Amino acid sequence: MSVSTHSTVVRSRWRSIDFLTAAMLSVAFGVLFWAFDSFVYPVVSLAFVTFPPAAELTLGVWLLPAVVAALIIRKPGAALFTEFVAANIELILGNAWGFEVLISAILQGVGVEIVFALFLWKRFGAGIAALAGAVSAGLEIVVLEWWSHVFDYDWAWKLAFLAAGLISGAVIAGLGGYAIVRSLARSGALKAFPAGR
Amino acid sequence: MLLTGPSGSGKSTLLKALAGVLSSTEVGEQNGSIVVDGVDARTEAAVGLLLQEPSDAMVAESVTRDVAFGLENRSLSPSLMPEMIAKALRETGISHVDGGRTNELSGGEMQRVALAGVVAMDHGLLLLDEPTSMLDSQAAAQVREGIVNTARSAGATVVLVEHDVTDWLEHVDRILVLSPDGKLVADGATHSVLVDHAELLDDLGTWLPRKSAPVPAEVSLESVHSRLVEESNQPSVELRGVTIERVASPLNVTTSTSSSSGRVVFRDVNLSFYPGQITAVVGASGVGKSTLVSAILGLVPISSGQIIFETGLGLPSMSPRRLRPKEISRLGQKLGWVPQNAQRILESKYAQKLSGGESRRAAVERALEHQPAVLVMDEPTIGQDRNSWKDVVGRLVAARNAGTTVIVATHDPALIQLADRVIDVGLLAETNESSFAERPSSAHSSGRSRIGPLAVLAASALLLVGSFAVTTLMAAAVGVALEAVALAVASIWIRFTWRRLIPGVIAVLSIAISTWLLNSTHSPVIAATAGLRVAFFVLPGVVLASTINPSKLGDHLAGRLRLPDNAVVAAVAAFQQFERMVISWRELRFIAAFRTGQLQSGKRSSSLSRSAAVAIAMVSEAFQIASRMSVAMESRGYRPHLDRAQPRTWMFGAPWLTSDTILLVVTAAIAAVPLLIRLSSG
Repeated sequence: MSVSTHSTVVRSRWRSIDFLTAAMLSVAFGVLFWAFDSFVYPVVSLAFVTFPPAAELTLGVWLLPAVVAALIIRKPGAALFTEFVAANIELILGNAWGFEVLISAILQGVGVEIVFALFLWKRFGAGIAALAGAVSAGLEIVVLEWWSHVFDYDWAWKLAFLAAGLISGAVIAGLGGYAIVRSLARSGALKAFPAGR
Repeated sequence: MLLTGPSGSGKSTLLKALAGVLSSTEVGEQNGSIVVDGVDARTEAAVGLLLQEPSDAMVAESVTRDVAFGLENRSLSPSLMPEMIAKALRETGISHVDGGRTNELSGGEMQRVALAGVVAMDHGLLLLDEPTSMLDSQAAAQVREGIVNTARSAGATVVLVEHDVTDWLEHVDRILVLSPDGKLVADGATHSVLVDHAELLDDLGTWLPRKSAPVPAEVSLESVHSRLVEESNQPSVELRGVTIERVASPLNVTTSTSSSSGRVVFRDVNLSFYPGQITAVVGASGVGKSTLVSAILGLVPISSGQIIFETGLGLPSMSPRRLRPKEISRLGQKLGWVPQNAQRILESKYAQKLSGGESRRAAVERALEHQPAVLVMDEPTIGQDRNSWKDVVGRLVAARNAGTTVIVATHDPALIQLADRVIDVGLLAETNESSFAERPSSAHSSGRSRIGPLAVLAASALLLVGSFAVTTLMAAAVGVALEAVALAVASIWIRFTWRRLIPGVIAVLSIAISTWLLNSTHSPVIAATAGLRVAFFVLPGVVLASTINPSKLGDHLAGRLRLPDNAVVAAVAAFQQFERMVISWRELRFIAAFRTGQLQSGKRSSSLSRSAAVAIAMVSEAFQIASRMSVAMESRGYRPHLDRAQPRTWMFGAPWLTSDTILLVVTAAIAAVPLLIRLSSG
């Protein structure tokens, strides 16, 4: 009897290693966010105080877990799960936005899921990653941030804010996430995943 | 039954296959089938598995939750669990940590708790993968005793993988030997295998009981420090009045309700290390061997005193502060270092393919490449078979003969015997390994939070909805003032971490400022209203969130919100690794700077690309932990890829408290205030 290790499980069904890799990815990013929130972001946000929409150029950093998870695990739900767990970690450790991070995470995760679903979880190139990052950022801004954080901005500024977010999502989360996955694959860390072969 | 063979012969893989966790955690072809008690091993967890690294097996915050993990996966009734857990802890001889936090256990205690988690499931077959290799002899003996007792009382078959068979022999009935290419080369009763295949076992590097210690291999190194050897009465490293505190865990810093300061490990220690000498730093695990050698490297900052290097080396002396990356890289030029997790200091591409023992051996080779004046090593002989031991220790002796100052933290008796000097850290340390009861509890918010996590989330959601009705400065100010009063009153019963407000306040200010700039009216009133509207829903949420305990959040998300069990279980288990990841992030950053000192000039990388490399290394470590955890968890019945007959049970359930209802009612009233003000003002 010969059993191929992959025909025994439905392709979209999650294995234990999928769940744990996604969850540990959230934890690793949780640590990086914790460092970023406490050491880097205060400096960045001070630097951007003269032109606030530019601060939205950092949005992509928070979208990275979703894009990276989708590129590695390649299964429906990976982006949403990873982003949501990362947000819970941020909430528990303490952050600037409290409960709102959970809503953000759902929107951001869904944004990434939509793009990979459009390509039926069959394409995982840099272009798709950039698109996923941009859609994720767009959803977050249009559905949530326009109505909470920047509600009183003039529309022109709201659009500038959106543009900065889209660029950040595409470049930092999309292309950056793609680059992270590439170098993880090169280091041999993704042996258990299609992305590593 | 004992299974032995050289590194890389497939012992661990065979164990995983027996446990039925191979196909879902690794890639490859599996031929044939494995039948345990008449059942295909892949479909049901009928087998207990204990792995090398104890912290990979810890899946829960508390000892109780951890031992309950397998029982919950088996859908047992929560009412049966306390008794089964107590029994398992008793059988493994670890009852005294019942009720403690897994993060506060020593390695030996963790390994026994992991064993208890396996034992509680009452399997007929117990698989152990070098369960004592990471432990010092005392802790190893305790774990061994726990295993032997359990096997006896439960009547279970035990399959053990081990390099060093010496201490197990009296308990083992049968020995199997694998060759380097994974073939079974010997199988028989313990005594007959030892006698008939003595030569074979020796060739394969198995550690056997014998009178003579192994002889280190002859390695010659160019003598680089002849000048230092001549004046060897001059120490090359000197600790003067050094005090070291164990750094408070980052998780406690951020989530603890009380400010926990570091615990003093060493006070006012004076020590000298000399060139051309091997100094062994010894002592029970947890007493501070690693802390001491890490301080010499500058990885652990000292809190008072000084560490001075011989002046000819041109190294910065260490005082109570963190080193700058440039200083770390200068240390990297003159010092050799083999960390306990040796993979970290090797090129990641290369290290992934090596086992623990192999990467320690490679790191020793690498550390000697640039002819260091001082060589610092943390347990370099763990996981070495007899042959690789000779090679590793041979290099160490050669370095000593070449005039290097060799400092090695170790619990390996054969290595200690070779040392020129032995420093027992137990005699220096401020507190000996305290018993669990005396250990200062980190006062985690765990047991003491009086409100459930879902009530906190629901309250935050109510405030977010309520904030949309904030249109006037008056409504915003009244709302925020009411919240402040309510929180102040609540803080009589509930301990909040007020410090958490700082980032939120900064965010609120930045919103007010940017609105003032980017709203065409440039009205300060609109700006203040915008800031306070955000403050209205953000600030109370941030304060309330400081009461959330991750394990309880998991209980509630699965039990009350019906989020998928498999996802919640993985998330909660992974969260337990947060502290470990913060520590590894710090060490990886240090290593990145340390290694630049060893690279040829011109090959220096920018600090940005170095940070990126550190982030990649950390994520890749997280993935390695994930894969080992998934093996440990699958062997305890976590099988998301299989259909379940019954849903998983949760020992602690998701109780809704009276205080949760009170919180929601009060919050709903406050959340409605802006709307009422808006309606009443027409």
